[in-house]
Amino acid sequence: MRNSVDWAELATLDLSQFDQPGGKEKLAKQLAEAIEKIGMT
Amino acid sequence: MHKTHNELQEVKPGIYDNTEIYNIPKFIPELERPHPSVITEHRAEIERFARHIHDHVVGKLLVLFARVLELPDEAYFLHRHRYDARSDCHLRYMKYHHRTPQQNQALDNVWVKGHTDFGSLTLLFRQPVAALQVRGPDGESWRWVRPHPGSITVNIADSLEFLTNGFLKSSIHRVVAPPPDQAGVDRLGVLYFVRPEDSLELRPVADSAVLARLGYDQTTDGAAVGITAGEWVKARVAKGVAKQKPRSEVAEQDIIGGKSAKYYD
Repeated sequence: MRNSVDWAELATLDLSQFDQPGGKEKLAKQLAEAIEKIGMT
Repeated sequence: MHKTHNELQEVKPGIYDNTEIYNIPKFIPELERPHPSVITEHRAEIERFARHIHDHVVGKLLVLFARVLELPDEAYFLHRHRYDARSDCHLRYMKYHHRTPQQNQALDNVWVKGHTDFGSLTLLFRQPVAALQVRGPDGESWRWVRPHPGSITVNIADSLEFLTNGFLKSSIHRVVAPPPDQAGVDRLGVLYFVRPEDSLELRPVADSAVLARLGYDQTTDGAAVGITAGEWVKARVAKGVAKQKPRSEVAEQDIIGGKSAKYYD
């Protein structure tokens, strides 16, 4: 077991943006890119 | 259902289960049940927390997934995960007791073998202890899931994979002993397992421009059609989660309707 860890690459979504103008679109785009790029969530 | 530290099962000869869990279903009339006094004394707060998470976190995520799929109705998943409808959503309060180095070595440091969750999403509220790992993109390695302050760790589970015909992938994850600098720590966690309404059929959604574009709109596995969310969860619970099976690269269990669950080393 190593002390320096291999962190998984994951999407971080700031849901406080959801209710802001254009927030849902922005978050959905971020999520879509994460799904495509990372291949798993 | 719950288990306490006094009702330990033997995981391997001489090594006992080290987790305490307590599950709390939704606070709706059909699912009312007795709870220990520590729960009933704090029921208002727990219910407020549960409903808030469901409505304001899960609800938002479900809208985002509908948008990612370019469904005509962004509330498509929302309307099939209503808090007041019967489903197997539940909170789970957990304590993982730390283990000795000898115990961890005997277990190859794996406390819960690699698996996927049954429902739509799993939310994990955690202390800053590293113990959760997910499968890397190479499909072989394991990576640690970082506990960011003020964040919730979310993974996609089986039902969303069925509903999107594999476009959204159920996350393969496992629980391991924490790294040496955290090895002596008992780890507390709260999970919220989100499941679709019991009656929802786990078939791929229609009308997703994205699934059509990417070729996910054809049902490849006819056997999955017709199983409801309630049936899938019941069948997987009945089979149990494989904690410490004999070592094998991939173990597979037939669950129901031609679908199986896999367990991962």
